Amino acid sequence: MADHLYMIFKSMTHVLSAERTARKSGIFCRMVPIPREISTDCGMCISVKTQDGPAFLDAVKEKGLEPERVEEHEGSGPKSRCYYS
Amino acid sequence: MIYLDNASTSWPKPDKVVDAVSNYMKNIGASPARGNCTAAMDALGVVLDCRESVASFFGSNNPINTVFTHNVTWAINTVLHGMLSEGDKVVCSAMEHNAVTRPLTDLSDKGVEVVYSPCDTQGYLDLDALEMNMRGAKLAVINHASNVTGTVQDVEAVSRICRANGTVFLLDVAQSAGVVPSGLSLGADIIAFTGHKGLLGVPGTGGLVFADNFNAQQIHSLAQGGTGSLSEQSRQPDFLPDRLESGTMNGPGLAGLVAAIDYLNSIGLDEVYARKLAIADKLATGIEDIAGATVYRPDSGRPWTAVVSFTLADTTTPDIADYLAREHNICCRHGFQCAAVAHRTIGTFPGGTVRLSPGLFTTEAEVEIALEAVRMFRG
Repeated sequence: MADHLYMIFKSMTHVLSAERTARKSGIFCRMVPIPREISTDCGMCISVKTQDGPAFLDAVKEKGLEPERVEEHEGSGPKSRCYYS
Repeated sequence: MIYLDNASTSWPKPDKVVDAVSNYMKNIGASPARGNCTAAMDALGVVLDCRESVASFFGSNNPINTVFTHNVTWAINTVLHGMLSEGDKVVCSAMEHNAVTRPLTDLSDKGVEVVYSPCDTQGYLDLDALEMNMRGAKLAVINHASNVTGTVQDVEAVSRICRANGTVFLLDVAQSAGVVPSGLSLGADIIAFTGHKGLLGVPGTGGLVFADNFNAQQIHSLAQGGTGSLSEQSRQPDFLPDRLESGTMNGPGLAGLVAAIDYLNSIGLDEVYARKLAIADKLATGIEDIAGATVYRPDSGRPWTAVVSFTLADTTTPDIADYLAREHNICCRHGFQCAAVAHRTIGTFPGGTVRLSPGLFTTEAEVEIALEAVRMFRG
């Protein structure tokens, strides 16, 4: 099982809105640059512990902030498996 | 200086607005949504704070449906030019500002049918005529409150007419926001606002607030460019807010707008309105008592945005304004106030009016000085 999940959103506004929403729900997450392996975009995404992923998704979806994609990340580089779109 | 031009730009600003702008400049500085450093994230946080604050102020539950522009003129142009093309029909009132009439004239040249729906001499829309004119219209753009007379339209009635005709309703709240209720609950699909007038923010801020059920895909972006998202693509993102926001955001201005709305909320809109109305009524009544003066405002008891437009018989409005500025250092606006159409409607074309627009911080003493100055001019 991967350590972390990367939550990829449409825009930086969506990313920060999701991060605020998660924090308000008591879910720890971090805004990080989107890894090059995932996207060539120069924006940010959210890194969240895998076990917190379902709670994170529930919280942000309730605010209409569904991520575009969720990527698994293990060790030093992301394990690129898109299972949510 | 006695500042009576708040309908152009409100002044002074609350200290907390100045502090917020200053704090951004001193301590944040970076481009919002560009890069991953703390400053860039703080800057993005300010913009999101402002999006949440503006959305809440105008009754939207979804901050992502709030888009920032340079000002309300740019916001209105975004919708008009972004939605209308040859063969479309648009309806506006006969009290519009040039921010509406000029883009509509340009669009008319490009084959858009533009209908000016009539208003009475106080600036109120003839709702029967509006109902007739609305047939087949793709868009209606209505000035909530006149910058010339302070007349406040019956927006809920306009909204009903728009809904019955399937017409998108764009409400220009440049003069009403921060003075009278101007939110989405009145029934508009889109609100175009500015930050530097009644909201007490700084120039360079404004935007659009879309109702949840409005599909912004109908609006083609006026400008395309960097958004901090989907940077690998040469095409503009199709989602809000990025679809309609290109280039570096006005971080300092938006920081100020957050503080300004906080300030207004701390006083309460009812109290703001009561204060402005009391001071404007004193000013208007005082001018009405001067021989040869005519004040153009709605009948007593009807909503009014504290704008005192007047003329004096046997003189011109530039002469009055020049005297007030030169002899008494009083700031006002003369002529058409960028709304010649409205002056034709109320019967003050081509002479225009002198407009004195007190603000939240205008004192009774300042009003007395202004009244005495007009009396001295009259002789």
